[in-house]
Formats: sequence, structure tokens, C-alpha cells
Amino acid sequence: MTANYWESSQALKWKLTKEELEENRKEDLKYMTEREYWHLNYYCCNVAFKIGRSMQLRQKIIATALTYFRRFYSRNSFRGSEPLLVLTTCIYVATKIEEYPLHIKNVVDEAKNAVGETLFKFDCANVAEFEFYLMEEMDFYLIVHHSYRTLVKLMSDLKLPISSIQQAWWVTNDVYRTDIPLLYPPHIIAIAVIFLVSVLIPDANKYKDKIKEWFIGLNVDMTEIVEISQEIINFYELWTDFNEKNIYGIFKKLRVSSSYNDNNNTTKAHNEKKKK
Amino acid sequence: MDRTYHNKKDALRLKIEDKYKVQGFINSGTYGEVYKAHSLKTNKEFAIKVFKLDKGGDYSSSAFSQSACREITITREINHENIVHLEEVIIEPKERKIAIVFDYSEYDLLQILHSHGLAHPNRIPMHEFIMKSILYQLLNGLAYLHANWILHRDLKPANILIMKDGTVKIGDLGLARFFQEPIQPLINGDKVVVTIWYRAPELLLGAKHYTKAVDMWAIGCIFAELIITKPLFKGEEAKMENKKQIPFQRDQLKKIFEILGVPTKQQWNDIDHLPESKNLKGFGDYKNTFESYMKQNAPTWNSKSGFDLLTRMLIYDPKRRITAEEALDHPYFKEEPLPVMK
Repeated sequence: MTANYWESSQALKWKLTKEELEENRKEDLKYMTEREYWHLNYYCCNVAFKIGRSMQLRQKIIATALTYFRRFYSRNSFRGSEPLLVLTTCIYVATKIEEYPLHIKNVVDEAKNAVGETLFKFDCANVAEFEFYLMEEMDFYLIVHHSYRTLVKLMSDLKLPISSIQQAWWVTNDVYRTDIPLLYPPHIIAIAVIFLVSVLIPDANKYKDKIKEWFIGLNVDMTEIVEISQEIINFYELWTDFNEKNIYGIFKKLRVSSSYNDNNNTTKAHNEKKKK
Repeated sequence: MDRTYHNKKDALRLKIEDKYKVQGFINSGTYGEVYKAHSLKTNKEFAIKVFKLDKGGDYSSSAFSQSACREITITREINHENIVHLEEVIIEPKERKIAIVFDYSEYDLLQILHSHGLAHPNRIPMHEFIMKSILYQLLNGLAYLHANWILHRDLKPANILIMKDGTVKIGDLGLARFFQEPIQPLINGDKVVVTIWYRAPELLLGAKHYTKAVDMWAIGCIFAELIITKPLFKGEEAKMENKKQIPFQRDQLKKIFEILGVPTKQQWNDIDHLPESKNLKGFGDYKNTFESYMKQNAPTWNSKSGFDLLTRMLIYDPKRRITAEEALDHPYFKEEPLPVMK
């Protein structure tokens, strides 16, 4: 069903639990810290947002791509896979599913631009091949519901200041860096984002009663809202010491294949980049 | 490149022949070929649609065309008794092969119409009860698609499947797409949609946006075809002469006007705003002869409410044309013989 979230593949096939996600993460955590795991993920998300900006893609396309990306890594480990190939393919497939088809070469070129040739060693043939694997991993369920529309609607009902709407939009973008979209329905995420943002409004007192009343009227499970807010706060905590420079070190930990022995090259390239 | 993940997946994946025994070829189209097969596990029959390799051996292009993507995404997501059911998708990355496994249908509506119409010199009228049940199920499936913001865009007898137990299913969603907040206008990318005989007048007159009403026009044409056991508007398609210009479908419009009359401003307020409306002048003066045409071609069919429903499906103005939801509620379906779902 595409009109009703509760009957969608997102609710019926792709709503996951924290336990499943933690279980799957164990493999990667043998080789890296949890912080490194998330920093690698944030790096890939940054690449996606960068590609989105340079190709002027609607936010929804990137949100769909990142949902595919998190779904992929809910069943696989970073180690032994090629996160940047996965990510590029996610973006390419998302443009098709969101009815904004682009040529595969344009997407690959933009990804190369965004990442740099040191880390991005893939061509169109790699992405065209990986499209099969990604589709299969998604189990061919590709329609994704997002929280942006609910967010905008609720924010305009609530009549919060424009600055808060902007802030809520940014927070929603950041939510796609986390597992939250795999765990909660989109409208609940929208409400949680509003909850979080409403605390941050400059003259919060002016809006306090109105917001309180509104939340009571919503009739939603507040424990879920608080849970999501907490996870968003956790994300911002992990984000504080994120530094793209450390990414090369983390990428090195992913290799399994013996055929992949360009260890030295990457280090060399890294050093060159440092010099710049 | 690290191929650990690729290798792990390749080792686990089953091929078509590991799961199905192919029994025979059904048909082929621009997209690829369809085979009849049965499951090795359950023996159940299926139709397997195998997509032609996009640009053959060009490994740097995508094997999933936009149309294949739409068909997979939409049929995977929806679940309705009157829409073809997708069993599974099988891929073989090395061969760049994509196969969609659908329910097998014994017949399509084109075959059924053929057995009543062309195959017999003195057409055999279809029983009202059968006709009504087919139409009702079609509308039921279409109402579901439309409620989910999906347009089919290629409804025609060949795409309407009849299962062994009589259930009617809408098939071939290769041209279907979402119409909710589209990023690009719906006309982009796929310029010519819907087999010409079932094409709505607004499309023939160059309308840029598809609406649900386009599917309803096609349903109206199909309903009439069930009654008279031959296509209602059997126009000659004007072929593309050069790639830049979409030809004006004069003959198809003529066929429509001969029966329904030339549309007036009163019937269709926005008609002057359509890109090809200037061409309307050259048609002369046709009057609406629909009722006598139907009487002549289906002398034994005399359902008043049925004719009322039919004319509402073939209203010129897409804004006034009946919707699938409204049609299901029409008196035609509330009087004897009552439609059944199988």
C-alpha cells in the first residue's frame, strides 16, 4: 500500500528492532569502536548530502537513498563490503524510484567528485552490477515513506516561528544519519522532531502552553517520542568529534578480500592529501 | 574492490531453473519475454516475465529500465485481489537477467472477446452477468490503484487477466506510475502512453498531465467492447515521422467524434486550452449517435443503467468523467444480475 503507512512494506517488512540492529552490528564492532562505526556512517551520509546539493536533488531522494543505505547495513557489515559503492548505488536507485531518473554516469561522476579518487575507485559498471545486489538486499521493496510532509503540515498547524521550521527540517535530515527511520513510523518521527525543536525555541515560554496542549491533543505514546528525542541527542553527541580526516583509518579496517592489496596506495594517498 | 559481499550473495542465490520448471513461451514484447512455468516445490503455475537485457552487453549501463523499476516497485508494494500478484523477483547479476514471477492467468480479456467476437461471423453477445462481474472487478482494482495514487496508463483487454476461478486481475503495470507530488510533470520521459484505441481525448489533444480520468476513459472503451464484442473506437494510429514531433492522431479522434459527436465548449470547458485544439476545426459536424450505435451493434443489450454508466465513463471533460470509486456505487451494479467477485 502506498497511501497508508500501516499497510506499507516499510511497516510490514522493513520495521526493525533495536535488538536486530545491535546483533548485526557485532561483526563490525570486532574491528572498530562503536564511535568509529558511526563516524564511517556519518561520512557516507555527508557524501550523500554533498551529491544531493551538487546535483540539486530533492531532499526526499537523499532521504530515500539513506534509508536504503541503513537498511543495507541492518543486514550486512561494513567490513567486507564497499560502503561508497553501496551508497552511490542507493542514490542512483533512489532517483529512479522517486521518478527523477538520472544517467548512471552523472551519479558516478558526482560521487567521485564528492569523495575524491583516493577512496572512490568505482565506475559505472560496478554500480550497474551492484544495483542487482542492492535491489535483492531490499527484497525489492523500494517505496519509502518520509516524515517531511507530516512535519511541514504539523508545524504549520502549530504556527511555530519560521526559524523553528527550518531547524526541524535540518534535524529531520540528520535523522537519516541514524537508525531511527528503520525503527519508528515517519509521523512519530516528525512529532519527536517537533518535540525536540520546541524545547529549543528562543522564547520557549511564549509557546509553552500551546505546545503542551497540542501534545496532549495528539494522543501519541509519549515514551516513544522521548525515546526518539534521546536518540537524536545521542547522535549529536557522537557527531561532536566527527572528523573526516579520520575516515581513511576506519576504511582500512573494512578489508577482508585478499585480492584487495593496495594497502600502501591508500596510505600513500592519505599522506599526500595531508600534505595538501 | 572488496568482493566479499558479492561472493557471499552469489553463493546463496538460486536461479530461475532451481525453483521453476519452464513449460512454454507465452508472449513477448519490447520489454522481454513471458514464459509459463510451475514451481518445483508446490507445482503451482506461474507466469515469468524475463526482461530483455538493456543495451545487450553494455555492462556500464543499468539493467533495470525505469519501466522495470516501476513495475517491480508498484506490484511489490500493493496487495489486492483484482491486481496481478507478484510472487517474487529473481535476478542473475552475471547474466544481467531480471525475472518477475507473477500469478499465472488462464486467459486475458482479449482472448475472451475474440472467442465472442471475431472468431464468430455473427458475434455472440456476452452474458450480462459475466460482463458486469468483469467490469465490477476491474473498477474495484482500479479504485484501489487510484486510492494509492497510482495511474495504470495502459488499460486494454490484453492487460486484463482472467484467472482459472474467474477472478479478474489488472496486469502489466509497466507503464503505471505515482501521481502524487511528482517531481517532474508526468508527461516527461514517456511521451506516448496508452494503446491508441483506448486513449482518452485529452491525451489525443495533447494534454500534458495524466489524471485518473485517463484510466476511466479506457475502462469505458473496454466496457463498450464487452457489450459489442469489438473495439469501440478502432482508429488508425498516426506513426511518428520524426522524433521531435508527436503526430496528431486525427483518425482516432474522428472515430470517437463519429459516435460521440464533436465536443462543444459547453461539454468541455477547458477544451480550447489544449495544445491541439486548433485541429478541431477540420472535423466537420458530427452528432452524438451513441445510443443508436449501441442499439445497432448490440440489439439484445438493453440495460438502461448500464448505458448511463457507460456514457459517464466516456464524458469528454476529464473533470466531469466518473471516477472508479463513483462507478462502483452506480445503480448498474445494484440491479440484477448482481456482479460477483469471481
